[in-house]
Amino acid sequence: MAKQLASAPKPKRFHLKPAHWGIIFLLPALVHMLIFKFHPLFNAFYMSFHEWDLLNPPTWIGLDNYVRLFNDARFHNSLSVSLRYALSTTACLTVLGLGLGLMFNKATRGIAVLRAAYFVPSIMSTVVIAIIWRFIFHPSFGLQTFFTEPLGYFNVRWLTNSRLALPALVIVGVWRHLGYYSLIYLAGFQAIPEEQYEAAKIDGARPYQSLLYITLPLLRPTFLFVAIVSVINSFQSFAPAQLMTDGGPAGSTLVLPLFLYRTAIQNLHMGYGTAIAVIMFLVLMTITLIQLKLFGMGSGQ
Amino acid sequence: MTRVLVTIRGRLLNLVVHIILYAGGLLAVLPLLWMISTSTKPASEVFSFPIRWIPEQFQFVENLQAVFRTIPFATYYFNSLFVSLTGTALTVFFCTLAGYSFAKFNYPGKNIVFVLVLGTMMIPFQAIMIPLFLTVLRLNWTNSYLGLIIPGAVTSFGIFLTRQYLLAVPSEFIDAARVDGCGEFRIFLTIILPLAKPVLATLSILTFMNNWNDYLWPLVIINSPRYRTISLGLAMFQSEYSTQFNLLMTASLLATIPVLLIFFVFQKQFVQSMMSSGLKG
Repeated sequence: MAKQLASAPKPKRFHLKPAHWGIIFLLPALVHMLIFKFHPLFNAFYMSFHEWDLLNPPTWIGLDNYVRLFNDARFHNSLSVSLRYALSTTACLTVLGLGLGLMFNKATRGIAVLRAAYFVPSIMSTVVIAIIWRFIFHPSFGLQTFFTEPLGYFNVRWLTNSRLALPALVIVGVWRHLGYYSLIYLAGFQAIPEEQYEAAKIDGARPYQSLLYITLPLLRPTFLFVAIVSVINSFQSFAPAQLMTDGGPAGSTLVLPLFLYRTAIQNLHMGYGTAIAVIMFLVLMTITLIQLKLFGMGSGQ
Repeated sequence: MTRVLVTIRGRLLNLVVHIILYAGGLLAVLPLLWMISTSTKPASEVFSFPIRWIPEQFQFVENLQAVFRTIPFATYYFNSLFVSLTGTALTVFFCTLAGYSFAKFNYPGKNIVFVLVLGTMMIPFQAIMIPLFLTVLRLNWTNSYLGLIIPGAVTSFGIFLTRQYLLAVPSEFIDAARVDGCGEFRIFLTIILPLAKPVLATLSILTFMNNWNDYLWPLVIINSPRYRTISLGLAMFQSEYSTQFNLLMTASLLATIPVLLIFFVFQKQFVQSMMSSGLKG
């Protein structure tokens, strides 16, 4: 009996085909996404139809949250602040990034050092950045005095003046991301085949003509990428507004993420908060689609 | 004559380009230098006029001691290191596993699932932050390492990145191992992971940086000082000691050092990985 068992081929208890293993390998990630991505996403829409303070059970109120948002002056202000912040940051980044990328493309000396220098701001934590810049903007002892006083401006209160606070945050945003985006542009420039320029040169094109008729049109995908990513990122910028100005003065820097955080997490209006989040999601989608339509059309891709 | 003029103009343009680039580069690192400079100053010199870049009285060590005296900085630092490293290890492991599955296996529904996974890349974190908070609340994971680590432990970007890389790996390696009777999980560990090293490095660097710098999520789920990460601790520090700029800058410098170190050691991979992502907070 024992001998028989030993000589028989080992019984295979679980014989799984590779396809089964493929599913097994995918499973942990898939389960994670169901719990921490898809479920919250559906829940976001679902909860936005409820009123809920975490203490009492949620009550269904239909579209009330959206109706209230529609009439909420603080929400209008936040949406406007966020749009202004995101669009002006993006405008600066797409234009300055393009110029800087162009110069990077022409640079011959010390590129590695330069690249590192421009890149450093984008790897730093937003909290650290907010702390540094709050001091930089200090009216009398901050680094900003170094630039404003020679121009005849003294004691500029960047962060406590309602007209300067948002521009101050835009400066921080542009400073932080400019290096990153200019390197994206640089990669875009380098992807343009050299023959295009040579052909143009043979045909007698001047440098600015090459720039205008070859570089810029071929750079459209890069431009679009920078614009979309920058809008999406700057729309979600939270730490500088919270730590440098705390949304002030007079709500002039109360960006949507900060409004969302205050409403939901600090004041425990979960339903109202998710309604804000849903609107934010829709606004970002809309901006992305508009950009795709504006810049994507006619490129044939 | 015109040729000479053209060369001169070219040289001049070149010079101008370099001057602007270097001036811009200086502006880019100036806040960093400002942080370092302030971190070495005694309180009296922080508020001195005109600006002194190099303090008369060098006081970095005293500032360092003061930071550790005022806040439980070591705890914050440990929490950030622990959360970032564990999170990165989990992300890299599970994303590569899933990426491998998408790249090298065939099973029904694979493509639909992949499109769904890609689709989640377009969900802004803040849009699902509150429901995510409620999920974590229900799991009783607020004020815990689990709450800090698990919700971000798998990223669709990581899955996408590893899948793209593994698509290019020849399937013969895997088939040969199968013929030799190597188990599927062992194939993954001994063949796929070593082959994927470059993309794993990219993903690790990026994930570590994002975890280390994360602020909003810890802010939402952590109250207890025991689980505060460095970003959170710094923010609290600033709200309590808002004018102690020299101490704030010392703490900020300490918080920046790990990322700076990784950046300078792996500069090339770092730049490449950030360029490949386009997704950061």
